[in-house]
Amino acid sequence: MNRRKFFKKLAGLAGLSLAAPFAASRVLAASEPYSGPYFVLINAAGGYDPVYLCDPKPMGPLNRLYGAEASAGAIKYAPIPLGLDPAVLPYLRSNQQFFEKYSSRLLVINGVDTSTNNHDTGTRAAWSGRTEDGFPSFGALAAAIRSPGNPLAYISSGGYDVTDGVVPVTRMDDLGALRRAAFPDILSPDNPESGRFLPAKAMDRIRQARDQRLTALQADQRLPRARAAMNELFLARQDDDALANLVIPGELVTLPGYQLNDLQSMMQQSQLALAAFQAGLAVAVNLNLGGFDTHANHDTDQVLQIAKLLAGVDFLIDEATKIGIDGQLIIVIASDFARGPGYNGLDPYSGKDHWPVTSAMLMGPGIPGNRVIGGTDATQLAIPHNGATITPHHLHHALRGLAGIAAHEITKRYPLPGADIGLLA
Amino acid sequence: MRNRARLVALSSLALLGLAACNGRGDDCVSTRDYFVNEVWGPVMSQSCISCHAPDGQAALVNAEFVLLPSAYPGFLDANFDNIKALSANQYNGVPLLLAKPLGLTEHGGGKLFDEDSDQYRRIKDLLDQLQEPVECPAGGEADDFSQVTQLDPADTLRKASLHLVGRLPTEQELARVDEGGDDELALVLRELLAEDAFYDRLSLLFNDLYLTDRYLRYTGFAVALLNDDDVPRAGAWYNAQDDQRKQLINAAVAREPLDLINHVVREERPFTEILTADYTVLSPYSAELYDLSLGFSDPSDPRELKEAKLSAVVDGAQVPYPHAGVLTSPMFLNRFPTTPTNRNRHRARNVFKLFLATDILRIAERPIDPAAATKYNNPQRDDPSCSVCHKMIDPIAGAFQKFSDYDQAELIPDREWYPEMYSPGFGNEIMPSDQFGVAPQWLASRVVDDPRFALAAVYAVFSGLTGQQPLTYPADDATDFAPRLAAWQAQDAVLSRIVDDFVADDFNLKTAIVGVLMSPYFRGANASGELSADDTIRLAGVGGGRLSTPELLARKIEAVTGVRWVRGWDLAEYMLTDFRILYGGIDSDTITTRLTQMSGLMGNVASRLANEVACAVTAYEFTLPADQRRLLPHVTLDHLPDGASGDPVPAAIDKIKLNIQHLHRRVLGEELALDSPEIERTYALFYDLWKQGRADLASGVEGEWMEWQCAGRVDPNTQVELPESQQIFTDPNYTIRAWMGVLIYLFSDYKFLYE
Repeated sequence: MNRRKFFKKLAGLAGLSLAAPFAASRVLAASEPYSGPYFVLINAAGGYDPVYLCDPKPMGPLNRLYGAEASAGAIKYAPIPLGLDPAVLPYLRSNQQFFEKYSSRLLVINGVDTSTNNHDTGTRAAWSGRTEDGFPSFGALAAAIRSPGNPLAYISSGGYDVTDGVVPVTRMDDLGALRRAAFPDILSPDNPESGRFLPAKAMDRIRQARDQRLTALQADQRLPRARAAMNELFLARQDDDALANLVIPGELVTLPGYQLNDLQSMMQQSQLALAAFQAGLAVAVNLNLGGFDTHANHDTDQVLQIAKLLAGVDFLIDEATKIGIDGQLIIVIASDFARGPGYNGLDPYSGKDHWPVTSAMLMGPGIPGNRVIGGTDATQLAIPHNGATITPHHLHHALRGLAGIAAHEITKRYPLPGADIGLLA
Repeated sequence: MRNRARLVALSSLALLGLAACNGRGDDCVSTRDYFVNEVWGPVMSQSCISCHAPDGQAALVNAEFVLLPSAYPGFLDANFDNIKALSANQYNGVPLLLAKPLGLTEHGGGKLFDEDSDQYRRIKDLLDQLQEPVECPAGGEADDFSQVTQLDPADTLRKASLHLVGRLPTEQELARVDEGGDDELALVLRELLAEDAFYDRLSLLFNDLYLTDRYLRYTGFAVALLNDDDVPRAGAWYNAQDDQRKQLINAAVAREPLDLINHVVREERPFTEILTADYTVLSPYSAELYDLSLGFSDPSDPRELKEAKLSAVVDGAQVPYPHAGVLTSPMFLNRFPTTPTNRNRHRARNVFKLFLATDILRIAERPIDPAAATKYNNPQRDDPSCSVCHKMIDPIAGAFQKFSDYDQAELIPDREWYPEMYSPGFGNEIMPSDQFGVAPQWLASRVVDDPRFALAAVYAVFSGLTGQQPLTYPADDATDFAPRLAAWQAQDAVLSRIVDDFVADDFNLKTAIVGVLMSPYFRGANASGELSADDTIRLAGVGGGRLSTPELLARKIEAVTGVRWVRGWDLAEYMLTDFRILYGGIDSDTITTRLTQMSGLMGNVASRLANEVACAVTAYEFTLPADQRRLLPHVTLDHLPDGASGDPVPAAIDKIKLNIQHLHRRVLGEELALDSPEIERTYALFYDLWKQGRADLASGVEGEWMEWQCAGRVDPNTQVELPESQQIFTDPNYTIRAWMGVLIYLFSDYKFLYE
């Protein structure tokens, strides 16, 4: 019997998949490879500075790095010269390089009022649409609804990855370990001639016994935490063989020098995420790049991190293009909040502090490119868009609509204030 | 010590307005419970707090009546105490707490209700009760776990022993708890806390909070953070050491704050000393780096710790380092760094989080108006939306004022602090300027005197041992508010009792640890019957079901099998290296929170673990004499269930079942009768695997030779080849592989992977 069919039969008999009371139930789901769209959620941790990215301002208190704004198509950006270490420059992308390459696909939303200066709250708001604790991230919801049975449905390398139990989080790093995990029954997965620990039919018999026992244990268990854990284990083992479809990269990209370690990590996580997308195993991935909390040395450090962020996104899209899935990527770039308004000192080493009105950038199928929505005034206060100040709620109404999950029963458990104001219309 | 009310008579019944009955069949509702259920919930948390919160309009005009929101630990007791203190204040014979909302006297919020309102009645009843408060006997419903069946003493000991010291209980220990019950269990648990292995666990437990193991990520990371002037050997001298010595020195430096905790707990000093210690602790390796002779009994033992007082070099002169336990550890200062504009606020936030059980960022978790902030030249002090946090954070930030903003642990005694910030201090107490030189010590003494310090310690222990964070008070608009409140109250009652015991035992952390281990949150095994929907929520966090961390699982593998799951080339444990992140662990650097829910990938890691460990250990077991085997002591390779004619061999079957019974006990902690369904299930698995294997051998599909990796060839722990006479390469009866299948089955079982 097909393993998944066996599971379904078993579950039907025993009531498995009755999940934790505080968590959403996850049920046995179709194991068809997931074919997109793939959601890549990129968190610029610490609070980036839109004035030096996609919400340019005249030179003055808010901007001391460039003279006049520049444009790529309809998108205005901050043309900051990259006066950085020549050794790292080839691995970075300037605003000009990025916006000229991607403006036709890019939607910039400026003037997003997060209503907070608090990192945790801002990160929650950016990725769940709510400032309150406990709401699952958009990535978790998308994964839980669009392909909950996939073993890598929601991959996270940081940022906000709260799931509230709707889907488990997966972390990936070590390639060798990943390969060994993908083929748990093969003695040496690196060796195509390798034998198995035990013959396949013996392993099937072991799994059958294991699952029958788990079913019996759960039937006898009435405390909710243990029941939920058993259910989670059962679901995690729905399809042990699925990971064998993972096309694990031969090697992960490496960049020279410690200064680029964070970008290297982001790129490596991109490679792993793309491999999971390509295998039809993942729906959403969190990528994370820190270093944006520039209370000091803003002109150096913030500029460097923005250049890394854009290089990371560029790398992601280039790699996705190589495997033919770039057209299926929905990319969202956001941050805890913004910085400013203006500097906290006059010296060249001064920084910018927290500021609630920020920006987000999106691209992918269903997202109108070459477009800017919203804005801020000369003091970096939000300018209403069609009469409404844009908030993370609005952004997430739009994302939920884009992902086709707005009306799903799981989504309804996590309501957003306000309404969809048509940011993607 | 403040007397925390233990007897919260919870109740959804009370919440529904049935105040006179607490649902236990008696009529005792304490005044504190009445306040919680009848006044706080329906009245004060709904209306009063909008102005009387710490950042509300009333607080801004220095009103005495301040209500703490639920983000503050112990907020209910604090609010109850505040109301008690204010209850005697009157206006024209009417209690002020009524006169104001009745509009009888000046009230910023105006008139809120009449004398015939429900709000009036509830507050008046409370004030009446406060004149002669009702206390109830022990046994309240809030911590009613009568529906929970707990692990018996032996099973509790097994679970705790594996968790704390990475071994199974000894026969003697089991006999003691069987004989002596819970009282003896508590004693045996306490004895476990003297073992070295416990301190490895304790380090991991607190590292999950302090994250200072970040500086173990590569050799030299921690040493490089030390100030060369203060520690001249941190440069060329260190670099001249051999690799192994460098690693040991770096580890000693990186682990300094965790070692201080270990030292305090091992010596059974008050846990307050982790902040008030006017010393640090050094191992032989870090002492050598600091060029100190401390008289170690074994200079090669990294566990041996000695107290030491360090000095800093300032303008060429040695000045005493203002040791304040963990607070002044160079690792702590670097792990929670500051900048010239952050001004130690990040550190202050972590002082609140780590030592005062307070997430300061939740205190002011509400929308801010960006336009409003720009009205103020000094918004941190003048904008109420900023000052609500800054008036708490900035005074604590001032305690770190003598440390550099750049070289995080560099002492700068003549550094001036920022006059525009709130003055250094703690709470409402301002630090005298003559204390600025020892500001961290001044702060430490205040923090440990705060009731929240004990709560933070118990929270840390609870989280570490149960794998779940303490519940937060449910939001007013939460679905299932009543049962969630009941869950919170139940847990609060248990944790409050542990806090009381901990404080009463002079802050001995071992008391808190044993308290958590003896609680239903650790010991809960099942429910005595089907739970109602509300009880399912109320008991959601009770009992087992914690996914073992990579570190705990690594220890369990070794404890149960005697074999570590190691990489052949360097003998490093897989769960602590290759699979640590994949299995949900942390690196204390960029990945700082553990995954608590098993994903598909983690499920595969668990499968690989089961396969590899079974492969490594099964044939190896048969290379050992029976009395040295941990897993397969009752069988030989010739114990076959069927004879040559295909008939059952009862004697062999009995032996096989006896061994299966042993395996269920050793691997899963199950005491099963030989005829139990689980023994039968496992035997059926063994039989089927053996039968199929024999058929495959006969048909030539399988050979006698085992896979090289699974042969009984080497000692799995050392990878050293066994004597030729001991080695086993073939499995002509398919017995080894059948047993290997059984072990795979057991090593991938829920009870092996979860606590």
